[in-house]
Amino acid sequence: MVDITTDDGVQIDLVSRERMQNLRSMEKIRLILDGVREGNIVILEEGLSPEEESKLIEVTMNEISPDEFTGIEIESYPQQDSNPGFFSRLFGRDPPNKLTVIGPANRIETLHKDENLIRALVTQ
Amino acid sequence: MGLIASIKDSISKLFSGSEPKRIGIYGPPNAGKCLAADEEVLLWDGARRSIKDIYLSARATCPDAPDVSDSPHERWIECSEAGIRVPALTEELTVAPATVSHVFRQRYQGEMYRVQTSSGSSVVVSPEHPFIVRSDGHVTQQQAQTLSVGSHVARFPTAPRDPLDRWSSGLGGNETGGRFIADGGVHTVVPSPPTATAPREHVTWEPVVSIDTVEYDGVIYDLTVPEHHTFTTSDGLVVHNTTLANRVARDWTGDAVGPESHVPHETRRARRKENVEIERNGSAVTIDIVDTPGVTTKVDYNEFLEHDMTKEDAVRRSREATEGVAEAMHWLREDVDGVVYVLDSTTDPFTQVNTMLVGIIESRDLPVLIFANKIDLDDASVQRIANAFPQHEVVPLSALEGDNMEQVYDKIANHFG
Repeated sequence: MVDITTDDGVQIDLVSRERMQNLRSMEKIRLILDGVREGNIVILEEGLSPEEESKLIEVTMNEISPDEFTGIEIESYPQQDSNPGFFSRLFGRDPPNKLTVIGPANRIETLHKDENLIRALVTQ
Repeated sequence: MGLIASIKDSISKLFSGSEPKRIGIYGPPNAGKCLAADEEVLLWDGARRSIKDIYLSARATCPDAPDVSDSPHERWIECSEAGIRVPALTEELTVAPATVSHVFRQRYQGEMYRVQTSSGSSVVVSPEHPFIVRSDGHVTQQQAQTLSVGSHVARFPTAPRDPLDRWSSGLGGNETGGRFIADGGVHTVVPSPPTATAPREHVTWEPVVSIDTVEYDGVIYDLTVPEHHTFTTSDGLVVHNTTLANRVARDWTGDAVGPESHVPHETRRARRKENVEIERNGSAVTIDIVDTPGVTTKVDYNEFLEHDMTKEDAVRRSREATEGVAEAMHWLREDVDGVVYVLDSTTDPFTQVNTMLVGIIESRDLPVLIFANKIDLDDASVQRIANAFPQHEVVPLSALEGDNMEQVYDKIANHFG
């Protein structure tokens, strides 16, 4: 993982696929939320599974607290093939998840999103 | 899940026992339909009060009343105990007293419609607010944005100071009155009486002379009136939008999932309506409807402060909203057998929440139908939703207007039966 930190800037955590693969679901969610709650932008080389995304929303909702944490902004590229075909089902191979950006809801705003570009504005 | 297991699972779902399937209704948050804050409502005693004052009065009278809205951006307060009585239009086009069961408000920024009739009276409503209109010999609802100059809207011929006496004895006087708009709870299509001036009718039909759009940035309000689902203002009438779950439940049980049957002290949480029996082609399908809050990844109580709430109320509301979404996520993983995913066909479906939710549903191999709601609006695009989720069947409908509901029930029966 690479941490980029400046005195007055915004820290960005770029989390590799390998690091995430070695974590359990709740460990992934804690890594994300701990970073976001510190005001960081977390970028995952490979995103979460749908099950993990569901838990991320649930845990985020449980942690929202007045004047402390208002939730997350999350963006990822859409799956190219969200309906697994015959071979994916036969061999249990899910399509890879794509790069995902997560940040504090009060500090990141998505300006544009399409299949190939996510443009976001980050404020301090 | 592998191919064989997937097929076996699908077959077992098709031929599983007689236990009702739990069908979750999910979707992003929606906007309501309301009146501008300073519009006046006619009360049964003949008095007129702004709809904002009525809301504030109901809140003051029932400070501990539960908030049954499932959206973090609106408030829908039970207030039957406040005893607010209004004249309501019955299906026989007569006037009857009715008690307001809920008051509603939400923040709104956008286009509103000022509708003016031949008597000179006017009312400012949100685009989707229905009026009661007589057209082609029938009486039905029509939204403000679909009205045209010349449409005939229902209107009280009188606004007596003692409405009980005047209205109960029929028409009388020539004083200025108000128009009726349904409150949206029930889509009523009433056969027209033989003539527009039939003695039993307590309303007349007044042509619309102008419809203008006005930019609005503020709080808008609505009332809910059980049974008759209408009330009048000195210049117009209000509606609250009908949720899809309410539409399904009402059509098949005569009840609603919303305020009438919500779980006490669990406001804004997912609500259930059990044993809803849908009969199609001679066979019956029994389902439990799980109406969930709009799913979001963020809730900020400061947004509620814009609704004239105290900080305490705003914090409580945001906490309830977060609990509701968390519960909906948990149920999606653990406790539903199928999903109806409802999208607003006037908005962009390519959102992160939609992508994630549909992905979660697919990962659980749950049968899913995507409902493209609000097809009655001009800027609706069912094709845009179909393009966004080409792997799923998309069913167009208008839950508010009741459009295409027969196909909706056919699809539910086929998909989840």
